[in-house]
Amino acid sequence: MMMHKRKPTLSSIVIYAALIAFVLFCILPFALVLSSSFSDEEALKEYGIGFFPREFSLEAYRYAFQYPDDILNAYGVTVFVTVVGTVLNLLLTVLIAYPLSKQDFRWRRPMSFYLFFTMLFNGGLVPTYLLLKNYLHLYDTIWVLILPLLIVPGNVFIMRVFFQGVPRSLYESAVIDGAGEWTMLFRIGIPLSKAGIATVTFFIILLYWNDTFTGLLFLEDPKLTPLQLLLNQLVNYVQYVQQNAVVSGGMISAADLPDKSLMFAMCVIATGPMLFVFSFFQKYFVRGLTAGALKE
Amino acid sequence: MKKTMSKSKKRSMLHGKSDRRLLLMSSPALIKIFVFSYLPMVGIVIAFQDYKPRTGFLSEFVGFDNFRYLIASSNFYRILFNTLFLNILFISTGLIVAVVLGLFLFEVTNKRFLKISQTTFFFPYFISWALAGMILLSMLDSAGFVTALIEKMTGETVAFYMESKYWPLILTLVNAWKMGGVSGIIYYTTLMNADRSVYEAADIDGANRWQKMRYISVPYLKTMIFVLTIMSFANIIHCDFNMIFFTTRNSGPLFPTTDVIDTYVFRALSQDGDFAIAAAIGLFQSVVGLVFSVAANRISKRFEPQSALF
Repeated sequence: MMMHKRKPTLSSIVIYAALIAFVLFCILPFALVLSSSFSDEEALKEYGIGFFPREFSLEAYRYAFQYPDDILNAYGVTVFVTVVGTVLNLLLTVLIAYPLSKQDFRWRRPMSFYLFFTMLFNGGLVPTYLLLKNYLHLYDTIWVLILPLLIVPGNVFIMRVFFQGVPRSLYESAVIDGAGEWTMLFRIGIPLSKAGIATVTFFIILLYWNDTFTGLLFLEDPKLTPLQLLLNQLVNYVQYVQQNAVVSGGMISAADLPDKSLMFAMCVIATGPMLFVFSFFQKYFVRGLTAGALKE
Repeated sequence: MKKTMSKSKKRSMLHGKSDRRLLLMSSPALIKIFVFSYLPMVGIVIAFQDYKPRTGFLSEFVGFDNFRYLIASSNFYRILFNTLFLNILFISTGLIVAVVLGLFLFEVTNKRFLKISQTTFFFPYFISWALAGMILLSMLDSAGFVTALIEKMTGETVAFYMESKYWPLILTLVNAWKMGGVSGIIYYTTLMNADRSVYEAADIDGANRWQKMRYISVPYLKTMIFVLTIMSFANIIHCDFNMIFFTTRNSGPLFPTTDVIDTYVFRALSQDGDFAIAAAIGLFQSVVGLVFSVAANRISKRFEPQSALF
């Protein structure tokens, strides 16, 4: 049992109230999505979305699971991109962060600048678009979702901070034992920077899982549509149906399709599981965010 | 003497070997960065050309014509103003929300409450902007929660996706929702490293909670506030494309207050096929961004030497 040392004072009431208000501000919008996905479509249109389902109904989920092809395909694309992308991305990040963490590496400074400069200046969207499309021929391929995101300079610098935390004496004694750089990286650097690896891995997973922009610009093939893009297309479709129903004076009945509730049901199906997984990783996240804000 | 010479020679040889190995190790990343970040810089020439897809990079050079066209168009000032204005709104409100949350979290003694509140602060941060846009839709759409609430209270139906005047406020709230909690946690974690004995000394002197916040916690956070704010100002010419695009749903009537450089470039490229103009704005943005970053770094160096980025 908690011991209460003092009675709640006015100041603690103010502090707790403000924090509870922000907690509610953060989660209540999610409750709206959840409740509308379990609502009856007609009731939604009549009374609007609320925090509790309007006339509880599973119709939207029934409809979503009736034609699961699109969503399963999108899940497949996103999982593939996230897994392959994360493995490659992490490998490249570690392989450059480790040399950058070595104080006596001759190319350390020029290489860090080479990396850092891309954070300060870039060619802009148009040249990048033309390069990927016309010269690298990545348009409408799965690799366009993976390759351009491969190295994030910020992640390299976070990883470097963790590698620098490894005591130099360990490397020195390994050198005496005749260990090369590769051995030192995989036997000493990586095992002693597990927290850093976890942090960066999570940043990368989030990057690939949530990427919508690349697909928006580079994909036409519906088979390659990732999850986030599918959600966006769904909203566009629902709005299109609604507009046309209005334009044609209700000749087309949009009521046949539980569009609003279906849209939010898809939302829950598409993101629910991952949001659950993400919340387990948050402690690494805090560490990464603070490491990223500090220098060297 | 001779012995030490050979030893140092051996050392430098070993060093050369390990330098080469380290270089080899980083080469995949170096090549990737070259191809995807440095090669596109060559494409900047498009900004000075009358770009035609058929002739590509060999299109006719027109000097600064694209820039002249830009400066003459009213769109340019609109997107420039929106980009700067929205960013200033986001930075100022974000800072206040984050610092207050950080200070308040630091005062919480109940471990369970701390844990639950931190977990919920992360929810908005974890999700994609595509999903965040859908969540906003559940509030502002024709059947949305907020729309229905306003209708119930005033009898008026507000079509949020048609009325640009509400959007600076909406986007500010969305930004605070998505980023405020996590930035607050950064400040909270910073405070956790503060020297506890200072607080104990203040207790003995009879300082109350607000006084300790004002005179111990806030000064302790000063460096972090400075670093994070100056970094945001360095990025003031860039607005998160995904945020604007997916929350406004690319709705034309909202452009007067929500169209920013990044969304304009996207449309010029993907909808209008106006490559040269898009490239010109992109270059303008990159150059201004570079200037702001260098300036921000100068300022950091001057006031907080250890916070300089480069």
